[in-house]
Amino acid sequence: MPIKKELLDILVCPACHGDIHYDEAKNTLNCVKCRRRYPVKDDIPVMLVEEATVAEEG
Amino acid sequence: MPVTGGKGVVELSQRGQYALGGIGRQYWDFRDNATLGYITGRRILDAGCGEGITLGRLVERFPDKKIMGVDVDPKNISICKHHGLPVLNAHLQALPLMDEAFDSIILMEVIEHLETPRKILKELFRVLAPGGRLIIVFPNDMGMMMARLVCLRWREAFFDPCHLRQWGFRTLSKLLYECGFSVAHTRSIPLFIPFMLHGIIVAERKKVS
Repeated sequence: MPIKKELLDILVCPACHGDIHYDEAKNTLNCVKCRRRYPVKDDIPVMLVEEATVAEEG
Repeated sequence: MPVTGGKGVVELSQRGQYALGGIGRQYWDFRDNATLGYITGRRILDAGCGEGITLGRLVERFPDKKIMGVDVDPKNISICKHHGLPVLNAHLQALPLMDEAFDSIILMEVIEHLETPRKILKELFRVLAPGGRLIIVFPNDMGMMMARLVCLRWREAFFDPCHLRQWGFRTLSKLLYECGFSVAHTRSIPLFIPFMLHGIIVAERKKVS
């Protein structure tokens, strides 16, 4: 189940408050500013900084 | 209300407690009803929603409002998910939520567990809209213990719930003012002090004129 738009509209990165983009293929919520990727487990966003991975450059 | 207890204590589940019924459950319902009466606006956050009993009540009571629960404990999150409740796994100290995104925030039996209450109240202030309300419910530990003893609930009476401090209206109001809030209402339930089991404080984020 994709993340609802009304949820995406209010989500920000908990680390830098950057905007969040949902990557449907990888099922992650990605910060467009600091490039952290937050997992979605069992349809629930896990917006914990310690659970995030950081996307590699390029 | 995390489910984890103190040293060497078997966990007490909130839903398990609630399912026991009796006067405990009646009081639980009374406490929730007293709290929900202070809600204002359409967008509601249950901060530290635990196993989601109050969150479920919010969803049921206010089908037209936008409701969200947040909890740091993945076990609580999966219980909420199991009950079909709208939740996010996040830390109250670093909420993944836009500024001014909510009209009412409930902090139900959470503040007594917090290691960094000031930081968390400031974070809640950030996500609360001007004119919005933060509704805090905190237990009176001594009153709760006495009530449980009277009701012969021995296990709960001596359960160590990891409360880090006993808040009062004065100490909590002071911290709220320091975090930018103003205090609109205080209420002791079910009766006045010293027969208080919980305190309710309704704090507001003033509109900037």
